[in-house]
Amino acid sequence: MIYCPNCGTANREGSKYCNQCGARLTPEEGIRCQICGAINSPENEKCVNCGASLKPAPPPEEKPAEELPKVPVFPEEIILTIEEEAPDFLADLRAKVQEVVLPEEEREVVPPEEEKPIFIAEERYEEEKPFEGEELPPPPAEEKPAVAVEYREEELPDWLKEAEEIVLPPEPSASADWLKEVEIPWLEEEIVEVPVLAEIPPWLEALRPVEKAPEAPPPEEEAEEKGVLQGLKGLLKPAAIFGPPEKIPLRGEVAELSLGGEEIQKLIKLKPAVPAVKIKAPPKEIRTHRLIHFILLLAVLIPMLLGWPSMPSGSPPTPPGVEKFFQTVEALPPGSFVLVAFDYEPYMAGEMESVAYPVLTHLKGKGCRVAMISLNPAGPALAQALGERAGFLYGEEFVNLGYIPGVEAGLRALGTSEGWLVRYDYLQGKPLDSFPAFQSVKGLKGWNLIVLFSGQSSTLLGWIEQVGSTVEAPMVAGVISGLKPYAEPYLGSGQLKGLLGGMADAAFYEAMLGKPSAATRAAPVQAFALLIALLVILVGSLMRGESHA
Amino acid sequence: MRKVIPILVAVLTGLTVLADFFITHPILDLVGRTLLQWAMIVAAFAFVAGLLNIFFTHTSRVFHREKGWGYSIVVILAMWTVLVFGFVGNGPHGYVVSWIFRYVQYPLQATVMALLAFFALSAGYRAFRRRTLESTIMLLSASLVLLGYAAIMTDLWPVSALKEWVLSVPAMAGVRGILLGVALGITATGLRILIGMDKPYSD
Repeated sequence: MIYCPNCGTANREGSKYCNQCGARLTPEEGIRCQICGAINSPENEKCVNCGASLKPAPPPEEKPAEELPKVPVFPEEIILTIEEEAPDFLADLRAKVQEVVLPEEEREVVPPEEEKPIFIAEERYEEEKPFEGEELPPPPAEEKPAVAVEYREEELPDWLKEAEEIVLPPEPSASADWLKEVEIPWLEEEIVEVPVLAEIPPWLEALRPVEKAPEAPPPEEEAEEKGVLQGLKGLLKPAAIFGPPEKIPLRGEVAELSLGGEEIQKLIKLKPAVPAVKIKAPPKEIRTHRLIHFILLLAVLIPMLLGWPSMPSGSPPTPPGVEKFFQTVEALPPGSFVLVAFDYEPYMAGEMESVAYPVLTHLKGKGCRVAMISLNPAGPALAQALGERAGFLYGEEFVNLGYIPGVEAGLRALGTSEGWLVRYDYLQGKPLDSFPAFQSVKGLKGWNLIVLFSGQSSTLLGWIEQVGSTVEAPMVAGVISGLKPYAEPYLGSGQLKGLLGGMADAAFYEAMLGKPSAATRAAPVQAFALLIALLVILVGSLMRGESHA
Repeated sequence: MRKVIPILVAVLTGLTVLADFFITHPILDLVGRTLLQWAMIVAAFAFVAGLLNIFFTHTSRVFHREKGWGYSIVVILAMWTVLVFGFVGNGPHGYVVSWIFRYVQYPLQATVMALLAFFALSAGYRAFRRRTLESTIMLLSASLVLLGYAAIMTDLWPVSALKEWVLSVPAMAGVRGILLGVALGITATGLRILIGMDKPYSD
C-alpha cells in the first residue's frame, strides 16, 4: 500500500495519484520520457510507459536529415485514431510528439498493445492513463489468480456435492492465463471462503438425509369379515372425521424438523387453558342508572304496599276542567244517550281506566244509556271490559259499536251517516236496530253527550275537528296526563265542555263523585314517585353541574 | 296517461269530499259518504297488508336463520293462534281471543309502558343540566310542572298553582302555536294535493 503524503489515504500498490485527494504519490525524480513525459528510474533505458528509449539522441551527423528514417512512436493505426478521436489534451500532447530517430534494432521494441484484450486496454487507459510525464506502474511481481476462491472439494460431504443448489465452478483453463495477470480490486476484496465441514450451520446440518432402514415387507392385508365387501382385501380404512391432524413428514425424514413436528403434535393435544373468569365491574354511568332505577322502584312499591301517602289533608282546589266535566255529566237527564269513545292502546289502560271508570260509574248512576265506539282496533275489547266492570247491562244500558277504521275518514263518515255506520254490534254480532234501547239514536244524531277517552292526539283532534262541528251534543274528554296540554286549548275555546287529565284529575273526579276508587289510591302514590323523580333530577343536575358526560 | 289518471282520480275525489263539507246537496252528500266509506274499507285492508307483511318477513327470517329467528317463530305462532281462534271461535270477543288479550297482550304492553318511566328518569337525570341559559330555564320549568303534578296530591298542593300558571299561560301559548302551524301545514298540503303538485299516492 502506498500512503498519500498529503492526506494519508492508503492507495493501491503502483498508484500514481491519491484516490482521495489526487496528490502525486511518486516522486518526480528520474528521467522524463521525451515522448510521453513519464518519469522513469535513472537506471531505466526505456520508458516504462511508452517504451521509448530514454537515452539522449546522438548528435546529428553530417548526413542530411531527410535521408534518415522517421519512425513514429506509436503505430500508424494508433496515430490515426488519436488524430480522429483524441480529445483536446491529447491533441496538445500529440503536438509535443517529436519524431524520434530510432536505431534499427530498437524499432520493434514498442509493445504490441493490440494483443491484450480490449477491455483491459481501455481500463488502463481510463484508470491509469497518466498525465503528462507520469510513468506507468511496474508490472506485478508475481502472478495472482483472478479470483481467490478456494474450494476444498475433498472436505465436502458427498451429499453436499450432489446438491443442486451448489455448482462448483469449472477449473480455470490454460487459455485464461492472461486473466491471472489482471488485478481486479473489487474482486480481491470479496474473497469467498467456502466453510469447511466443521463450520456447517445447524440449519444446513438439519437437511442431512437420514439413512433409512431397509423397509420391512408390507403386512398382509386382512380381508373384510362381514358386510357386502366380505372377503375383499386392500380396502381403505374408514377415516375419523374429527381428530388431531396426522403427522406429515416435512420434506423427508429430517431430524430437527421431525422433532419440531412432535412438539407441534404435543401442542395440538394440549387442552387450552381456560382463562379465569374476571367479572368486570360496570362503568360508573351504568351503576348510577341502576341506582336511579332502584330508587324509583322503591318509590313506587313502598307507598303501594304500605298504603301511604293518602289524599292531601287540606282542600286543594279542583281543576276547572274536572269540575266542568263533572257538572256536564251531572246535568244529564236520566236515560240520556251517551256515546263514549275508547281511543287508547292497552299499554295506556293503566292510567286511562282510572280516568274512565269514575265517569262510567257516574253515567251508570245517572241512568244513561251508553254506546261505546273506538278508532283503535284494541279499543272495543277495553270498552267491553270496562263497561261490564261499571255494571252496565249489555243491550239494555250499553252497546258496543266496535271499531271504525280510517280515523279522520271514519269520523267524517260517522258524522255524515244517516243511520248506524256500524250495522252490527261488537259482542253479539246482532244488527244495531235490534236493540230496543237504542232505537232513537242513529249515527251521531240523538246523542246527549259525547265522551272521549283518548291517549293519542290524532284521535282527540280528529273527534274535535271532524265531529265536533257536525253534532250538537257537547263533548268532554278524558286523556292521559301527557296529552292534557294539547287538550286544554279546546277546553278554553269551548269545544270541550270538560277535561280530565290523568290520574290526579280522576282522583278529584272520584272525590266529587263521592266514590273513591283506583284513582284515589293510585294518585298519591304516583305523586310521591314524581317527587322522588324530581329530587333525583335535581340532584343529578347539581352534582353534574355544567360538565359534559 | 298512466300519470294523468291517478292525478285526476285524486283531485276529483278530494274536491268532491271538500265540496261535501261546505255544500249540502243530496247527490253530493251521497257521493261524499260513499267515498268516505271506501276510504274506511281501504284503511281496514291496510291491516291485511300489514299482516301479510309480518308473516312473510318473519317467515323469511326463520328460513334464513337470521339473528333472532326464534322470536320470529313466536310471532308467527301467536299470529296464527289468534287468527285461527278468531275465525273458529266467536270472533274477537271469543273466549280464547279475549283471554289472550286480557292476560297476554294487555299486561305485556302495560309492562313495556311502565319501563318507560325508568328510562325517562334516567334520561332526565342526564339531560337536565345547567349548561346554558336555555337549558337552565328548561330545567326550572320542568321541575315546576313536575312538582305541580306531584304536589296536587300531597300537602304541598299550594305549589300546584304555579304549575297551573305554567300550563295555562306559556305552555298553552306554545301548544296553540303548534296547533295553528299544523293546521296551516295541513291546509297547504291539502291544496298541493288537490292541484296535483304533490302526489303521495304515486310515490
